[in-house]
Amino acid sequence: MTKLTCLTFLCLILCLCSSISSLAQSSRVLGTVSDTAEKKNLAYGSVLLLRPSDSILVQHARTDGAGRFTLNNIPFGRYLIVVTYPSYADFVDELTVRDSGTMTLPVIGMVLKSKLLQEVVVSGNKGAIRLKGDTTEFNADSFRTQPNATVEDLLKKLPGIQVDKNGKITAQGETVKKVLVDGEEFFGDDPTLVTQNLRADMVDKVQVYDKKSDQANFTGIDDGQRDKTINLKLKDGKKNGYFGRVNAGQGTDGYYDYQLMANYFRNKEKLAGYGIISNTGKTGLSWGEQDTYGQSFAAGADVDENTGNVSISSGMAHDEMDSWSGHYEGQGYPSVKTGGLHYNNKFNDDQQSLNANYKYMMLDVTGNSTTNSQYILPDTFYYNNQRQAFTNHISRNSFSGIYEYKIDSTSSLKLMADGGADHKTTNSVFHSEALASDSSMVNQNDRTTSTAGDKHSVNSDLLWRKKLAKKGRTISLNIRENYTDNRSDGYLNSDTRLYDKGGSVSKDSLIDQFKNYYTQNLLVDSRATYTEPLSRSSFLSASYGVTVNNSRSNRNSYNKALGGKYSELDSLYSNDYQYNIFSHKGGLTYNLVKKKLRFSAGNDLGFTSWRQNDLHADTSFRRSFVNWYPNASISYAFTNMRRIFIRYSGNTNQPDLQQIQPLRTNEDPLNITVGNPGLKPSFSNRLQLFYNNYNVLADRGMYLNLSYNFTENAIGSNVFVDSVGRRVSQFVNVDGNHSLFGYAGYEMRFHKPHINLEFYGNGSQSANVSVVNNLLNKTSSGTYGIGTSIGWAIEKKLDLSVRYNPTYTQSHSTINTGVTTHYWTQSIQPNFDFYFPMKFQLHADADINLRQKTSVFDRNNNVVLLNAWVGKKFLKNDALLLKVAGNDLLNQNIGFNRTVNSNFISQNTYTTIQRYFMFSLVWNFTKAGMPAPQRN
Amino acid sequence: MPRIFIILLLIAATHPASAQSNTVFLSQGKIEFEKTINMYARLSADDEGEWVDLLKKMSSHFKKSYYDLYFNHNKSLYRPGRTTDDKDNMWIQPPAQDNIVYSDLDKDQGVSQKNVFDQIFLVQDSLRQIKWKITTETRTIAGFSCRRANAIIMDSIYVVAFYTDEILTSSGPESFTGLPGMILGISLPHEHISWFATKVEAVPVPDSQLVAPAKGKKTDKSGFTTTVRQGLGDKGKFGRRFMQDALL
Repeated sequence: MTKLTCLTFLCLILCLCSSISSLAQSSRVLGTVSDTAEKKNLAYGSVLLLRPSDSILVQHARTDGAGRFTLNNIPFGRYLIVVTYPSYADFVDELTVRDSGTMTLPVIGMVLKSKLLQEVVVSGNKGAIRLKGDTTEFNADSFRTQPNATVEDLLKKLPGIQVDKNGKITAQGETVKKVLVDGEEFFGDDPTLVTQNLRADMVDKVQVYDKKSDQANFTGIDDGQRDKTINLKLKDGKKNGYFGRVNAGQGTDGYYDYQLMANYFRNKEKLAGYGIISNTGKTGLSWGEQDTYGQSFAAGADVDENTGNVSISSGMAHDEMDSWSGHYEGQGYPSVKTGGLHYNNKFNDDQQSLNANYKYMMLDVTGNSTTNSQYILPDTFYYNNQRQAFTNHISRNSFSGIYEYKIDSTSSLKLMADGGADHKTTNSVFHSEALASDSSMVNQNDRTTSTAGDKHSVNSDLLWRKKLAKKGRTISLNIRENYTDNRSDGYLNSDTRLYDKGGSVSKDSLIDQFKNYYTQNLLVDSRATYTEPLSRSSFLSASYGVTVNNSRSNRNSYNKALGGKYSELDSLYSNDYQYNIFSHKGGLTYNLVKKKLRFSAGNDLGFTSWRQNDLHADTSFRRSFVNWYPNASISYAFTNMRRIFIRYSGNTNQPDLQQIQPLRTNEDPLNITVGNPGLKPSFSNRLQLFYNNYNVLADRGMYLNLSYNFTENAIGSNVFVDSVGRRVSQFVNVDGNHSLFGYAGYEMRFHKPHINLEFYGNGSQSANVSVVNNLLNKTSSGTYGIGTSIGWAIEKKLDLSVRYNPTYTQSHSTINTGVTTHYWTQSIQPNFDFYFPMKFQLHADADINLRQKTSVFDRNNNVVLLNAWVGKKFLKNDALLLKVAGNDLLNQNIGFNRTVNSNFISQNTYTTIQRYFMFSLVWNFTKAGMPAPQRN
Repeated sequence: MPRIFIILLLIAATHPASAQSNTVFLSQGKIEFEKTINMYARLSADDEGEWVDLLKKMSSHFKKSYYDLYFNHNKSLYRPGRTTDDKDNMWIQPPAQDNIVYSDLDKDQGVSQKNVFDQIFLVQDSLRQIKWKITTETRTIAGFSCRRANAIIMDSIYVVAFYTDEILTSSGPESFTGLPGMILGISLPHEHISWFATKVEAVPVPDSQLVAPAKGKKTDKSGFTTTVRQGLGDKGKFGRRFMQDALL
């Protein structure tokens, strides 16, 4: 049955086909192909029917064993019939089909190709030619061509090169086998098919050389054959221009925001700069702006030759003044004047590259903050409330640069350097009070501190790498240097009142001190690494290095002498200390790099000797340690987009100078810290797991990240709080610190309608060990949160999204199990953008924070931060935006920070920018993509 | 059975022909193709600046991979061949590196197995119709004299092909067919991809070796195009580039 229907169907199709062909009036063409000289018919010859207008292939056939061919269903019309046969000259003839039925052609006679002697023309070399090794190089601009001239036109002008009518090129008497464009073969474009042609003015240099045969390149055995080859080196993109952004905003309540950013580029040269004068929080370039108007982060990146791993080092000094967002993230009201310049370029065929940056910043910050804390003691606890008013100023000059030199194809040099000079002044006024658990007054303190100081730093990093003859065998040398010095002077005025049980002042102590500090640190680190391949996919790295890390801290406190001068050294709060570390470190690492599996394991062993000199006490002692740095990692790619990565790393950390210097600091006389010269290095272990699975086509992804850390000899604190709330804390080594962190997320996107969904959960659990009033205390705390976000977009109409993230925090300490802390915080972040006709746009976002009260944090800290702006775009490409913005419309914003660690729980709130309105103008200007003026 | 008989006849027939004019017409065998992607040119064409420079450092200038094309009269099978030591970088790994393409030239039917970002598709449809423009330019590839033909595919991709009439099967690498002989060289100059035969082996290829791939989500050309466009069309320049690679 089915067979029958198939058959009828086939018949139907055949009928249809024949009817179509009869409608279109087609014909059958028969013929025979023969060697006329040998009088033999040729089998398997190719018969091609081409459209004469453009040589498009219409139909083709092969001759049978008797040299016969049949072309079926040929529509009426004029054709070119082409017959090809290996070693025979092509037969070409015109063919007109105008009768239906069968058309038999006369026998097609083929003739064997006869070899033609080529006339070799050698002409003298004249003109602007350079000889580079075996390569003759022509400077394309030295040869004048017409506008829109083709590459062939250019080649014709070059001495020693001929181009014949068929496009065949002869160079220095030899036929050119290959024409390359930047190393890739150039076939010449068919102007009837392609509009984008290679023009003569796009060519920078024409190089003519003898290329080893492909076979020789493939086998590595030089067969002595050379192909004359022309390589066309193109000009670099032919781009120059500039673009940038101007932002001018003036607001109510004295707020202003003026920004100018510009980028000028010419081929590979880039010059960029920016200037910002603002008190709205903008203090520098954001991550994205940095890439465009400063040094790109990619400039500091490095790729490991053997593993392909990428490491990115920013090459810039980072501290509280720099942030990813380009906004001030500290406390108070910032006011900034800052500017920077960036330059980068490449020289000598990209063999050398240079990046240079300069930055100036002047930042003033004023504000108030309140800290409410709870100290948990074995038998009781205290509340501590502190208010602070501060005025800080910093002016900074900094530079950074990267120079890279590809010495040859096997070796390279990279030098990164940065440095800076800061001048900083701080002034603070504090008032604090401590209350016992029954809210009775324990102590009070009023104090002012001021400092003025200068800091200098110079850092450099030199890396030399060489690939040796055997594939995978490499050698590298890295020398790193970090230098900082910091000198500052300051005053401390303090009045501390201690209260007795009856609530009256039992002791009133005053401090009036002048302090000067000087710290200096010099680190020189060197490391040589040798890598030896063990097989196609595995290799062993051996390294050895020496590190010198010398630091000194001289901190002196002076009391007022009788004459009113600060000349009396207070030895309790003064110390001059040297802490020098010398270590040499060697190690072995095994690496396996397969398509799906990667594995590495190794260990470094370090021998470290410390020299600690107390220059005030004139004592000195030496210690030495053996340090281990084990590490192992394994990663597996189930597929390209589904991977798992597990890593263990062990690390020895040396205590820093501030922790080891035997100095009491009394900047807060009720909260004294003491260094500990007997500290040992700590050893931290970290275990991490990452898993990700992303479906590119369906736009769905899943991410998982787990990490577990535990530290031996961790540097913790030994705290003693006396009956009047005075806290003395010393750094000590403790055991038992560990933490666990986990994050898992799932995201999905839908196309119709455009909806993004994201779900995630995170949790952390940690244990911190400390000594509190001579008892061992373990504080266990945990934070657990879940979150979800949903976004909906209609192109050019609206963008809506909302994120909801509740978090639960709990903490308890073993020294006082009666006191536990637990609370919820919730964050809701809606975000709206509406695009109206006439290029009007309305934006609104909110950050709603709901924070549960606790016994310590008893004030209502719920904040609804609402921002909105409305704007209209003007000009071509919407280059100009005028907008009116309202920041913190409900005037509720406060800075907020809660910390739970050890036996100390605190909440910090501080003044931050609140409600203001601003009218601003944002202009994006551009002049780019213009071709460089033609040089003649 | 009758087919083998025909093949034997063909081979027998080619021998006298070769005695006459030193020509061997191959009707079955194996061709190794070297696919070369100019990674630097593609990266520079898509974008510029330090991030592109970094991507270049992560890749070799020319990424090479190898494919074998088995053919026997009117059928051919193109599939990945020997592997290289190249370090693959997941971020710039183009799709279509594991394509298996089966072509039945007489029936005008093709089956392609394509791995697009870990999703395997089985595309069953008619062969790609290409309007080839025959030229007079010739060159020798893997010892065979080849003639150049040009075409435009997918509305805008310029194709340069070199085919030899010394191989009777009218096939070629990937889905490039339709010339009077075997395509031994393909270049997409503006996409910076090329396939060139490195060697041609006149080995017997039994039918059992020419089996269409069967794994993957079954679809046809238009269904595949829709899926790929939806998944990659909105992912910027790289997405568009990958989309084009997948649709080749």
